[in-house]
Amino acid sequence: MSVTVRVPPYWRRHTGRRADVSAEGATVGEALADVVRQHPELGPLLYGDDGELAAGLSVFLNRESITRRDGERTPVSPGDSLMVVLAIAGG
Amino acid sequence: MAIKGVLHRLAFVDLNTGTVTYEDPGDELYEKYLGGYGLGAYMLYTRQKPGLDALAPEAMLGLLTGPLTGTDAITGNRFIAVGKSPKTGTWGDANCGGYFGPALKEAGLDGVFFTGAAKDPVYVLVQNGEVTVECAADYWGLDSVETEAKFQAAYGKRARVACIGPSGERVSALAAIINDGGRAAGRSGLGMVMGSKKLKAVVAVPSSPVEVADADALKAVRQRVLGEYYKAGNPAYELFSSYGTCGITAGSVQKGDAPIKNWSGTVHDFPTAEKISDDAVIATQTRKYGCWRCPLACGGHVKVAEGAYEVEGHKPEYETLAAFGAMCLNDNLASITVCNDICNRMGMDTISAGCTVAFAIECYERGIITKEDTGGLELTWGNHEAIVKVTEQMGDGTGFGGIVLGDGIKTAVGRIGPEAEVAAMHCAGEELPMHDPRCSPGIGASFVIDATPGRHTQYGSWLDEAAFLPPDLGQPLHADKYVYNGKGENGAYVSRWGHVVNASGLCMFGCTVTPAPAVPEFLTHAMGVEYTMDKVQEVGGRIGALRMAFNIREGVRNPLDFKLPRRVLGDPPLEQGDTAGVTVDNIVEIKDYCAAMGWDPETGVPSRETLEGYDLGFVAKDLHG
Repeated sequence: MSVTVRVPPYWRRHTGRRADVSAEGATVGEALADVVRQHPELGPLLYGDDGELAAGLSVFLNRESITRRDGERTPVSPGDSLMVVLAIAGG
Repeated sequence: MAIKGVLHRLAFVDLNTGTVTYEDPGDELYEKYLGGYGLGAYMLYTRQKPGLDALAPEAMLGLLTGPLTGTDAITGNRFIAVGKSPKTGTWGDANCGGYFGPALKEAGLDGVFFTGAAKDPVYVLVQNGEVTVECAADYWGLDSVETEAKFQAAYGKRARVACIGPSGERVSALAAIINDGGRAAGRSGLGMVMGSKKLKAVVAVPSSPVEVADADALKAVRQRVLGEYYKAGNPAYELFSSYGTCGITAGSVQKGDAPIKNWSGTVHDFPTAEKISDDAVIATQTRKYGCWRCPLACGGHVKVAEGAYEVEGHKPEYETLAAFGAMCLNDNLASITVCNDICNRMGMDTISAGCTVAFAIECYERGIITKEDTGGLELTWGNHEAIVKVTEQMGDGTGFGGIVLGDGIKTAVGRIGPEAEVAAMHCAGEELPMHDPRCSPGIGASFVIDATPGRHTQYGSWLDEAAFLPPDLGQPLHADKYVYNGKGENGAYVSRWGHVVNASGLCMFGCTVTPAPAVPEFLTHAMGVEYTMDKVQEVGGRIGALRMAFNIREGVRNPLDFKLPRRVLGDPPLEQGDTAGVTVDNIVEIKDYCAAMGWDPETGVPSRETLEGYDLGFVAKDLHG
């Protein structure tokens, strides 16, 4: 099923400047893996050496953090939106 | 051997008489306090009579560079305004980039201090190390862009101008000191102090490059650090160079770092943050803007023409986008760009102005103020036409915006009535910046315990929580951000580091990309005195203690008495969003921080041993007898 994944602004040079990437998968993890399949440069940014989501990254499913649900195993439905946010602050 | 990187020349201008004297602070003071608010704190502490009203003519206002300003050190382009804050009654400072800082130094001064108040408006001209006080009658009333253009027509395009706009001329508490048409030393109300002295502008005409101790070694460090900047995947560099701070807006709303709806809302109240963030903002950008020799170039010039809104000016920063956007539930980017331009031209701090508008909207929505009070303005959430109109009024001093809101939130509560207190989100009179303690609890401690309350440009444990620490700084937090004890040492280490960054003339943003050990290297090669990471801690600790001592001598006997609004700490907690359920205990962290700084955890007073250890015996005598 297809979901929309919004990537952080400073990663968009790896997605042809596209903010949103359409991805397939039944769970958050599968959808993110599909994003990496389409844009391999995002792999090292999205995942640490241990294969887990990189430190300092937050992922939100329909505005709610996946840490409040079942993490990468959280099921997704068609039309859902995922948003990847870096911890970086400032300004 | 005279220390290099500095000019050994400070000017002291008495605006009562127009007389100017010059002093060399000497090697010892430069080595111990560097410049910026380090040297500024020393000068105010030793020369300003305690207990003065911040707007008294005798009160000092300083504009200072640092030893790295105008050098090859990366982001060495800052100057700092210092003085007693008329908003908080505490130590005040405001840090600014652009081109003015290097120009002041190349005009022959490390800094200039003002006392007294001119009878009629004046400006100060700095060239070839000499200062003259000139009549500003032809400039009074001009906005900041017009002011700069007129001075550059008179003194050449290389002349750089730090000025107040009409807001400062009216001695408004929202007033900022503006340079380059949109870079602002905005916080602490120091534009108000400048206006109280009838000082329209400082004009610096640069002529001589800054001499450093070892130019080749300094350049070599610069080149090495630039290599680190350009490494693939450096997120801070990617952020600042590609977007600037507008790149974090939507993400900050999503994760709860940006306060929403005057600190009462969540991302669910403002689901359209993308409309005022990253690509949407960059789509309006006509060209990038970088401060003097900065490889990040996080600024930009934008052009907007949408309906009634037509403006060309500086790109709104994250703080501005959040203050006029998320805080007001306003997703109309064009209107925010207009508000940004109004603030820049009229010389207002965008954080304070935007937060004051959000405060007024909440008062209106609660029925505390009515359409009759506002002169017909419907100050409802997201009503961008009303937001622009009230901002215009705050800028020109007319109408409800000018008369009621024109001096910020704390004063507005006094004008509206105590029932408005419920919406008043400030700390000791300073409107709070756009970083939420419910997301980064350490900033809740920093808002209270720093000598300038309610500030986000002071370093502390929150930089660790927000993944904003410089590479290789050490002292990682390694703790759950919602566990409040045990963070004192980290917060103290990081804050001492930050004091040196700010006193050196470097940019906070640049120093999140620059590997930390490069900073003492820059200082060593610029000044010709060896600085190490340990010495940075010593100098930062000295500056931190002196700023706090300034407050204590001013009668702020216990900085822990400054309270954040309970709402800001999550009491009651938010029910939605990523920070749902969070209530922050900032007191534990504040006390741990004080202990780590060598300050009394119950009072914030630096101990005698701490002060004497920093060669601040004269301060110890004042505070401890």
